[in-house]
Amino acid sequence: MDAMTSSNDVDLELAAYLRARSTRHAPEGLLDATMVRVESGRQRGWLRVVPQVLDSGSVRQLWTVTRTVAIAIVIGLLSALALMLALVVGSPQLIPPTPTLARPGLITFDAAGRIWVAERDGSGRHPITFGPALDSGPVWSHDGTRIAYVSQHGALAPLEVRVIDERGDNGVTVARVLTDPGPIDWSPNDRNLAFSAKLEGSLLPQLVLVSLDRPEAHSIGPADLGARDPIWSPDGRDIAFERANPEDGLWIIGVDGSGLRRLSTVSGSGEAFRRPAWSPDGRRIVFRAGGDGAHRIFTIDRDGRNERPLDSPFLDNGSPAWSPDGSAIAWTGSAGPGNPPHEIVIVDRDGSNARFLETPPLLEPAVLAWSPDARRLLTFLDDQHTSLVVLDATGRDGPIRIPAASSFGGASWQRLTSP
Amino acid sequence: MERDIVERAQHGDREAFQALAEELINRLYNLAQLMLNDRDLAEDAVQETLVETWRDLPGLRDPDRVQAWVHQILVRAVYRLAKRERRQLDPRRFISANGLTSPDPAISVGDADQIDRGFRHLKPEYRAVLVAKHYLGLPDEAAGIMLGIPAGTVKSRLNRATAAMRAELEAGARARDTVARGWTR
Repeated sequence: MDAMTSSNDVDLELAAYLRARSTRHAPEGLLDATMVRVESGRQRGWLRVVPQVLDSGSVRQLWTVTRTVAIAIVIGLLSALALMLALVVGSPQLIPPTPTLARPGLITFDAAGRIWVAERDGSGRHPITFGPALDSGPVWSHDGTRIAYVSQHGALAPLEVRVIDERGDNGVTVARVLTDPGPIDWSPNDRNLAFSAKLEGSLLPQLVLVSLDRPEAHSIGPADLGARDPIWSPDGRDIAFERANPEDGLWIIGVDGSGLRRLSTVSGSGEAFRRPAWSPDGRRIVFRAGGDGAHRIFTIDRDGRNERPLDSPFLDNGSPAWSPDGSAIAWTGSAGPGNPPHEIVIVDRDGSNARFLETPPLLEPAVLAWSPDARRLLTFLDDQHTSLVVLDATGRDGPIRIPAASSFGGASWQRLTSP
Repeated sequence: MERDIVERAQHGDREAFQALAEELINRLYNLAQLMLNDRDLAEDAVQETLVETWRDLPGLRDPDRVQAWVHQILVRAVYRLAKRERRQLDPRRFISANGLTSPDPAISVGDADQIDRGFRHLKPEYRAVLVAKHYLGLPDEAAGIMLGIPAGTVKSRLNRATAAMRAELEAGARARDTVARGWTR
């Protein structure tokens, strides 16, 4: 272990070290030896006096009055809290301001069953979740204060969706008993999460929404939806997603379950329609369609009009991502089936002005995430050990590798909105 | 843990206390040996903890919280014994990492030995907070209750403990490099 590695991995190594040193059983004879000492010792009698004192009439009366006052105060506080909660929950969804660039903060990713964070140059890499659970798929909230992820306590245990802060503290489980949960998407106001999962008794994945104010997952749309990869519209009103039943396509539904309709007309198979992305102004969606190994990138208006393919010299195209200022679209390109993507295509929002970024072989399908300042791109390398890679979108600086062994392929970039 | 057993033990029932001790002893010993890194001292810590538990049990107001309360007693016993350990330092009594059969592929025996040395050199308060956070996985609030410190202090103590551990590991790595360079000359 070199000095740098020990600095970065010390938390993880400590946890592993302590687990390795743990023991299930105390030495034989320890209990007996302890009980011999207990037999010869006496309990402190004066402590038993306290309940007897409290039984006396005057003290009991004082206690009753104090308790009544305390209960009244608690009821008052709870009523005020409930009123505030009702005002907050009952208010309409906030429409976010026009997206602007922001400073990039920490990158979060999963590796070896834990959630990690690192600076964008790979420094300060350390896990923020510990223990026996397998954690994956971390996603930053839009305000950059929380991370949502999927957690599983054991190979056969049901999965949970949890939310933590950047230190891994203040964890809360917002959904339980899930099967096959997909990537999580935060609502624009960071008060709700959307993901696909098979709920108890369902055979096809459903669209699941959960509010952080009242953590209780509920599905929207019909039970046979067969939904994957939901993404929230920037105004918070609709959710676009891949629907696999009865056939693959890009669909949209209102967050209240109304207005379910198909947007795309082009067909697709394999990884088509996976991980679509809204334009930051909420007017268009970028997605991929076409046959397996020969996918193309398309854009479409929110109402299903103007479905257009974007030109690419590559046979297979995937992982489209709209830049945070809406000015550009990036995606990965490969030479077809069996060939990992080895180049990133970046075009202007109308598909013009294509430029190309040569990369090491990339994992596919994978996250392709713009940094909040639209200068860099984050994705995974298709190497033996699985590494995250940070790419300079202009191609001037070389790629930065961040080790992420045994990753499930989840990564996200923190958006720093404060000055 | 059955409330009935705790309540009977509170009223002086030694059989009930033995049943309670049987439930607690494996976990107590495990935590003590993790924090102290010394099996003999860990046994002493468990004995002192259970004797003190028996003595003060009548004063426990909420029998459902007996485990957290006993953990607090254990931590205090660990601190006391750790001070004694520093006065009577005998390296042969330490649990060596060389005998570890690590179930975790993230740690090799060589790394374990290095971590073992670093961990052993930490103050007992730092070892305790690292066990509470990295082994038990307790949130700050619960770790604070166990260690008898505010949750905010848990955070700062954990940061200092981790920094101290890193310093120990880096010092160890530098020492090894020095030895390695000496051998290759």
